[in-house]
Amino acid sequence: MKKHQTRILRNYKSRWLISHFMETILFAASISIIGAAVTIFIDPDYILPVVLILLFTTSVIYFPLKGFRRINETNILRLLNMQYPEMEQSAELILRKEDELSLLAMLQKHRVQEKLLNQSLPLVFPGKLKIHATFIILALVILAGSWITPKNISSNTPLPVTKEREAIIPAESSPSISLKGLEVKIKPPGYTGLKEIIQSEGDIRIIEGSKVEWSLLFSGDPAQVTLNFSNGQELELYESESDGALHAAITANEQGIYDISYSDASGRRLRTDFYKFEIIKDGRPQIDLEGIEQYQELEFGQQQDISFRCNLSDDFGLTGAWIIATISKGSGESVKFREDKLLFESRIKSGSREAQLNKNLNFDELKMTPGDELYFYVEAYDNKQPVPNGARTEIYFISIKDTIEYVFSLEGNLGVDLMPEYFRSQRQIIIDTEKLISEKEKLTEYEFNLRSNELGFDQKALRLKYGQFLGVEEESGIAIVDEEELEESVSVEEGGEEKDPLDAFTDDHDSQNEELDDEGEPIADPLESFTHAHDAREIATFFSNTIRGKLRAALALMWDAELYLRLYEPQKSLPYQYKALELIKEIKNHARIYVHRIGFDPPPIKEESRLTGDLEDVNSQYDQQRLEKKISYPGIRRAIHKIDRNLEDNTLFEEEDDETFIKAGNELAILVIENPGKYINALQLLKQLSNNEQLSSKDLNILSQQLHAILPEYETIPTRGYRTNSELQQLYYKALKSKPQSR
Amino acid sequence: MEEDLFSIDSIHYLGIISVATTGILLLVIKEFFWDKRRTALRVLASTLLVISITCIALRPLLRGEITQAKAVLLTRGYSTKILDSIQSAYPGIPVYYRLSGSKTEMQNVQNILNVRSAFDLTILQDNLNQVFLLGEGIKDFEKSALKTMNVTYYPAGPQSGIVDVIYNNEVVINKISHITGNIVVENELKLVFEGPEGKLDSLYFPGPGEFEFDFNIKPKLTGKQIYHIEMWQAGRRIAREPVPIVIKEQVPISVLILNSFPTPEARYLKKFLADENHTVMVRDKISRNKFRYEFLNMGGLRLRNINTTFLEGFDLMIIDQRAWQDLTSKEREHITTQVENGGIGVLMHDIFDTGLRKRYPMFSNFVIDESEYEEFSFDDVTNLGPGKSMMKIRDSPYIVPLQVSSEDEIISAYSIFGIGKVGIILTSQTYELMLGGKKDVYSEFWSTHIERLSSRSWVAESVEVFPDLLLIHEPIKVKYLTDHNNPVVLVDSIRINLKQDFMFPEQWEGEFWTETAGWHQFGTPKGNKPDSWFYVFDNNAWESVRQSRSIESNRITYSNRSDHVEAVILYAYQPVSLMIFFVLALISLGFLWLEPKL
Repeated sequence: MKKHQTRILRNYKSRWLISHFMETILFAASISIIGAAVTIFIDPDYILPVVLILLFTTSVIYFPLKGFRRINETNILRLLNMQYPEMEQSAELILRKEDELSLLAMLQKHRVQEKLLNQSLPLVFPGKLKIHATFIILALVILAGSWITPKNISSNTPLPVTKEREAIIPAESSPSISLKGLEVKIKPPGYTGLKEIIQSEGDIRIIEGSKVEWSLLFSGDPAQVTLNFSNGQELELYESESDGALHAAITANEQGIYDISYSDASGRRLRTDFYKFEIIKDGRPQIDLEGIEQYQELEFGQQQDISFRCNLSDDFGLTGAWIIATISKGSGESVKFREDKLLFESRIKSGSREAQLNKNLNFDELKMTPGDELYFYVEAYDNKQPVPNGARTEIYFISIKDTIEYVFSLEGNLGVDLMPEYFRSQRQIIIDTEKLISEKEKLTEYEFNLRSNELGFDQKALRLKYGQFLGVEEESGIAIVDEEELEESVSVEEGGEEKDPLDAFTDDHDSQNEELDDEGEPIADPLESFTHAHDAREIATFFSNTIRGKLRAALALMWDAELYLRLYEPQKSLPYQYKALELIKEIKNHARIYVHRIGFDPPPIKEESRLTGDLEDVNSQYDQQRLEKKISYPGIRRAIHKIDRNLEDNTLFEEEDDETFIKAGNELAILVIENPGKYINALQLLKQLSNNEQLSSKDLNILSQQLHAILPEYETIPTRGYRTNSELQQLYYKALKSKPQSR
Repeated sequence: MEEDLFSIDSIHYLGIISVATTGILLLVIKEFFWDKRRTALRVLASTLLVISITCIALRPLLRGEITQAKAVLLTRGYSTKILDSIQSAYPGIPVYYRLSGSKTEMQNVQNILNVRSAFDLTILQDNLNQVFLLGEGIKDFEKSALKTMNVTYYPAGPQSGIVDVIYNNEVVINKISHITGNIVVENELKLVFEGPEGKLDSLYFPGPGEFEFDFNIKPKLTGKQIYHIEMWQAGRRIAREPVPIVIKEQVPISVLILNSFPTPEARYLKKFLADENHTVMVRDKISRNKFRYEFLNMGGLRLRNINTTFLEGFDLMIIDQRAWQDLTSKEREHITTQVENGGIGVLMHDIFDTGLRKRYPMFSNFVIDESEYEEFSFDDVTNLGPGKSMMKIRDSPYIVPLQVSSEDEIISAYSIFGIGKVGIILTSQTYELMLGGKKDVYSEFWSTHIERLSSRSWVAESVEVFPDLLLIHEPIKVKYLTDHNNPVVLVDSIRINLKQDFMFPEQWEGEFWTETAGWHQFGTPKGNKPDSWFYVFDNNAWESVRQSRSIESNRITYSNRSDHVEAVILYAYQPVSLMIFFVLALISLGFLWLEPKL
């Protein structure tokens, strides 16, 4: 009986405990939900720990403090009294020992005991279950509200937040780490005078030489954060203690694209979209001359000066500009050059972007005389650091006419100097003679005489060379013959009839200049048999009479010069040498015109003997080639086909397509590096495709359009048509054939 | 089949008639043997009875004059004024509206009945024999519904928008193709032409009037592409019409070049062709019977004499006149035969002799005259640099000019010889275009000549679809040329039934409908040719073009019908009411029953 009674009471007690436990859980859950709602606003990444902590602490505090102590047998009996009138306010008697009770009380105890044991009486335990249930619904509403409202990062975040670009990873797993904030600090080079820029976009467009500093803020703790540039450079970011952001800096010199890659906790490598990294080059200064023509020839005394204006501009600032002038005096062997750096009348204000400078070139100041020529160009530099950009104009010419001087012209375009080398060495002999005279004191007599004799020999050699032109070969004491000439003469003697290698390529036009008789033979001179015209000194030269006279005079002078040199009297030799040199210079001017007249004149070929050679050993030639037509951008072409097919009938991309998109991406990347602004969007979309991401049809359309635009346009090419091989067609062709076709 | 039907029917009728005759005979005999009273009456009644019953079974017809019925059939763009005048002339005339397919056109006017096609008219109204047709008219396939009727057509008023568009729906890559058409503009309007790479061109039309437009395309990629023509008015796009085009790969040509001596012209041409994957064999004469052979993109061949077997491997022969004359007469004969029967083309250049036509029958159509002009510019379109020619080709109906100089002198032309073509070209300085950097003009020039003259490849099968603009839910006709005995054509892998043409057994025709707009494919079960694509437009594509074409077509069909309809009396066989026979049968039966009781 007693046991039974205790069991019932224990039963009541445990039920009360469960009820209290439930109440505790509800309360703790409500608090946690509200906590979660607040955390969403602050940092959504911490929801789980916050919830767990709140749940635990609230439960631990609430469970023992709130009403736990009330759960005992006395209170259970009191509840029975309160809720069941049939207990007649005497349930407590159950716990009392019988010997403590009066008879009446004992009777009452038995009655109550009987009721308690026989009837299972349900009890309602005191508590706030209902209130807590309402509370939890309320908390859920708050949570939902905070979930929907847009999230802002609290003010203690040091960086501005960019529109977050999602890391490119397969769609089914969302990254726990993401790029939250991106700040790019661009510090243009000091000389540009531009201010520092801070931007929150990843796409960068900067002046060459700017310093770029990235600050990245991640949610979570990423590892191995690097900036990857298209040229293969990888830049690791370091963490700053002051703001917790990751930093990296670079001085921009090469343009391209870049992306940010990082690893998450599981070691998976994530990459962002591509950003462009475009570099604007500091241009060279622009120079424009006004009021002067590129080539000007002035009559002597006509004008004493010439003025012009120079307009200069640069994108960031000019530092200096000047004129580099060269004045040439004299001509031929005696030409002298003088180089000068001339300044403009006003100076450039350092750092100014535009300047207008004037210059007056005074020929007197430049010490220019008739026959002199002035060449000049303008040079300007900008303020680029460390190496400034320089620019220069074309060369401008100003020449003052000299009417006294020989005017000679180089006719035609025979770019070969046909004059022998020794023509130049008369001057050399003079220089050496002068040197010998000046060194006379230092030298022994033997040395002096030896050198004078050697010079005499040189003079002789030169004389003989000129003598050849006059036909004085029989006088040659020393044979100075060119190897080529020697070979020629030998071959003519040996072969008698030398076969011209050009025979096969020439026709009768080549011999048109020849006077031919009826049989095609050259007309012979009727006086030929009566005269001996060979090597007549007066005729057998290349030169005209006046030149011949001059040349002979020069030779005579050379004789005298040689004579004095042989006599070890170089001083006396010098005047002759000077005179000889002068004459040679004159001859040279004439000779240029004359020498040019000598052209290649092949021997005449008999018409009937043409194409009659023996061709037995000549074989037909065979040549085989395969010219493969290279198709530009094969990857991009394939990718367009795939994308268009997908757009047409919504077929899904297959795994093999990834490779196509990667190939197309590689082809496109080369273009992107060349023009970062132009195709980066297409490259990003291609990258997403190759990562198995599904793109919207709008994006695919854009991608297809941009890829199409890349393909180059080719020239029209012929193609083969086709015709149907039907009976009807055959009948038609048969009818065509049978029809008379000509009039 | 028809014979079978005929025999069944005749047996049927013969049976009924023989049963009836037997019935009458039996009854008449019975009457004679039964009773002598009122025999004639009984015989009459019996005969009448059998005849009535027979007639009920046979349902006889009687020829009679029929009443004429008129109706008005409205189509899109009809004039309400004309409708009013018809209604006042024929009060109570039934009016039908043929739905065009677009929902906005639905007529909710009282007393106007919407119909889906002209065929509905014949069902809805008996004895219809005159129809007033208003608006854009009916479609070709509906015309059979009104075949027996007197149709008066009142076309829709002037159209606006694009009223005609012409383009080739199959083009070759890297080849310029035109999309031309006419547009009727009321207010200022802009046409924007869009290709796969975005906007390609645009045209502005300032004011009212009809204008022509012409857009060029030069496709860069093979496959199916949809270009678009957009109409913009006041900054708003009012229409976007698709221009579907199939871009095909270039098919290489085999060219044989014979030169009497190496020339820069031949050298550049050889390079140009070989670079574009064409097969080129060049033979330059070095000396007497000594040649230099070049084989580009092909295997080497040992050539002793030019004969038909050798020529079969080539589509075109380019030869200078000296080289032509250096050939043996046997070789020239072989070439002539191959042009005539094999279809190879021959293009001769470096002409120095105007008497070419007299000596060689193949060139008999080319009369060459001395030219007054020594220099000419190729063409005002291409604006080629100056060419030099001392000769010109005389125009004649037997030649097709290919290049005409700015002085209207024919510089190059071809003529048909057998199944092949023979052409001559009087200039030999086109390589100067290449030197001058005008590669595009050079390519255009030679592409035209080579394409026109080259022999075409034979295709055993070809497939064509009609009409021009295919629409969903409308019949599409297919014409298939093949020498197969039992050809099968699949449209998107669904087999369509083909009917053999009784005149040309190689021609098969079929008809089908598609339910989806866009690209569809023809195929054969084996997957071999024909493998061609066609595009089916949505119901509202090219509305103005279809409308103007429909008006034109209806105008032609119904042009010979006069506006004044004379009263035509029509006769028809109409069924005699069976009730008469039934009553007669009842009376006869009743008399035969009652008579013995009298």
